[in-house]
Amino acid sequence: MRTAEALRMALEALRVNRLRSALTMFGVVIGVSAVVILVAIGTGAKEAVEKEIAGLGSNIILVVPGQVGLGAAPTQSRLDLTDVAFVRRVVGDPAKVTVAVNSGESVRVGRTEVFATVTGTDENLPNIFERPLRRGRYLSGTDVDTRRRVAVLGSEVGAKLFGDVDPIGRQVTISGVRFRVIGLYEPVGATFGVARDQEVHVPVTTAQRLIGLPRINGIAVGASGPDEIEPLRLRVVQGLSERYPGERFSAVTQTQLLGTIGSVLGMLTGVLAAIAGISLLVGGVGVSNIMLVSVRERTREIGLRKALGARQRDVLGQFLIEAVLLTTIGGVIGILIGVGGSLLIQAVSPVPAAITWWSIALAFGVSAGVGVFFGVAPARRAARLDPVIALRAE
Amino acid sequence: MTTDGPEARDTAGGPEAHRTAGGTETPGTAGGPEAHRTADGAQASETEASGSVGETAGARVAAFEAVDLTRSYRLEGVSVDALRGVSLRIDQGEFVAILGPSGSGKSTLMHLLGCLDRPTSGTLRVNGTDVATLDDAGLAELRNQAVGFVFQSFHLLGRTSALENVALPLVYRGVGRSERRERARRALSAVGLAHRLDHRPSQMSGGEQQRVAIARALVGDPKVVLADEPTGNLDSRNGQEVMGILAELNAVRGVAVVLVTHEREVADLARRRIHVRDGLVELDERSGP
Ligand SMILES: Nc1ncnc2c1ncn2[C@@H]1O[C@H](COP(=O)(O)OP(=O)(O)OP(=O)(O)O)[C@@H](O)[C@H]1O
Ligand SMILES: [Mg+2]
Repeated sequence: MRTAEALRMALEALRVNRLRSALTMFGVVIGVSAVVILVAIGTGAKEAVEKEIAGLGSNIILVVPGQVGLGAAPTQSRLDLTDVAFVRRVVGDPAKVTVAVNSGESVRVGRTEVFATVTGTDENLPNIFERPLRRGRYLSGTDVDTRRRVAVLGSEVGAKLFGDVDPIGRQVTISGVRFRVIGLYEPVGATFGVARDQEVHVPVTTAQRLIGLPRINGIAVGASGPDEIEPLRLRVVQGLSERYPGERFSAVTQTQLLGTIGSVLGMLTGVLAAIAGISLLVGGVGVSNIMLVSVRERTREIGLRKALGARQRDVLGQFLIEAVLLTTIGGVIGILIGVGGSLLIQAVSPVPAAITWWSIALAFGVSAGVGVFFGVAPARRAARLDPVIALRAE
Repeated sequence: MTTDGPEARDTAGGPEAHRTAGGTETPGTAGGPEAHRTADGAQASETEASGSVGETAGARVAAFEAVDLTRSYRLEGVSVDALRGVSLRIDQGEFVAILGPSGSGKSTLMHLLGCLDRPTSGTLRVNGTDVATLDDAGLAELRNQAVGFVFQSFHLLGRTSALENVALPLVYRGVGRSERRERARRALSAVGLAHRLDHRPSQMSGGEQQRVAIARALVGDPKVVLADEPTGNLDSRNGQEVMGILAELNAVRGVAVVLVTHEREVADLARRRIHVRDGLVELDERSGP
């Protein structure tokens, strides 16, 4: 018997039991669409985070006291501005080093009040981080040296306090102290849950006075190129460790962050795909089940076909093709639903979703494989039926 | 799928082998008149005597040769001997009725002759091929080409038209769709059902259904038609019609007909009657020329 003939027969058999075929396919459809959608969400999340990290700027090294790792407790910082000067000497290019000291404060204009992350930094910040201005100017060296009470507002802080009014030159009160607004940032979104649009940047010297401590939270160094990152990182960490024997300092690079986050999210995607895969497996069991029922129901037909000259492999092929057809048709429908669902999720929800070719190819391949795997047992049962006994069946 | 594909089965030389195998029953063939031909022997003979029909030759050609056939079933440890040593020879072109009480082993014998089943012991040659030498595919091929089987309960596919039902054996022979339909149409015309091609079994009378089944048995041009109580489910008028078709098939086309029946008048149509009792041939009587 030819393959085309077998295909026609299988399609006919599926058509005859339309509802049952559809319900059986449904299990596969759910499994496959779940694989496609969950992988799309996992991949989308990974891509989004990677874009955030890349959006920080390029070739950045963040130096912080203590050990850095996911879940590590923040250490009390002992770094101060003299250490920044030291790192500047180590790096060689003072313009490529900036500083951060953070504190959550209330920021007020008249009766409007918002909570913001007030970050003390310096004039070098825009040399290292991607932080475009919408209005006004960045902090200047003079602002830092003379400890001016000036502030550059994140886009959200600006919008909340001033609405559509141009805030440049206006006053804001930060924990009781009046500051003059000199700049307004473009929106840049969030990184690792840090809402950078809710920051207010002030000179680091001013911030230290405001907080009442001479400490800083971290130092950011900009390397001149990707190849420079690693040597520079080692130099800075080593220099600081020599300066403070027995203490640890960490320098985290974007590549490291990307690597860590990437592998965590990659694992997440894998787990999601595996969960979806289980539902695909359940769909496969359903196919096997229905094929067994079908073989039982059609025992007489099988007996007759054998009596008329069907070989074992003709019958095997017929039922195997039927099972594979069930799962691959289900697979194609599942892929369509999965792609449509992913696009819908991306369009209407904040969850990012990125459709990947490999997940589609995998889903299709697996559904065909499921058909073969779960179709073999029923098909073999059919192929081995004794024609005389089969013809006598009810 | 318009032309007949090359997927010919190679075990026994294709459809023509059976047709021409008869021509080899001539003196000088290795093994003598009762030559035990193998599949290869049948194939080798294909070149000779093309178009000759066994019936026309003076010497009769064996369609079936059974020697000491037994068939036992094991049922919960107890062995049931349905056949206990049947030896017989049925030639091409014969019209044979098999008679016997219920449970005597008639159907069992028919299943063996039709290659639906294998004997427990003894040898059976179908068109000269020892079935013991055949694997599943070889046996399937004999079923497909050497014999046509007609069942008491018709066994038509319910959701399929008469034409498709009749064409089904050709599917397993690798015959293309259009040729299949053409041959099925001819076979249906031959049993007087040219006007019922697209009817489903449920839309036909029992007699018509059995005629469809006969057409299906004929479509592959077998040398032998085996019919196990073909009129058992029919009223006498339809039964007579079916018997008329089988008799005509034998007389006009020279197809050997072996049928099981309980009815005396049906058996009387046959020129040879084999009586089976308790798994043995009790009496083998011939009448007429
Ligand atoms: N599959 C089987 N398993 C066990 N015993 C069987 C089987 N098939 C047939 N037999 C037994 O073999 C014997 C012969 O059965 P068979 O069907 O050949 O009889 P039959 O002559 O065709 O009878 P009937 O005229 O009733 O059709 C019976 O005793 C039957 O019970
Ligand atoms: Mg019987």
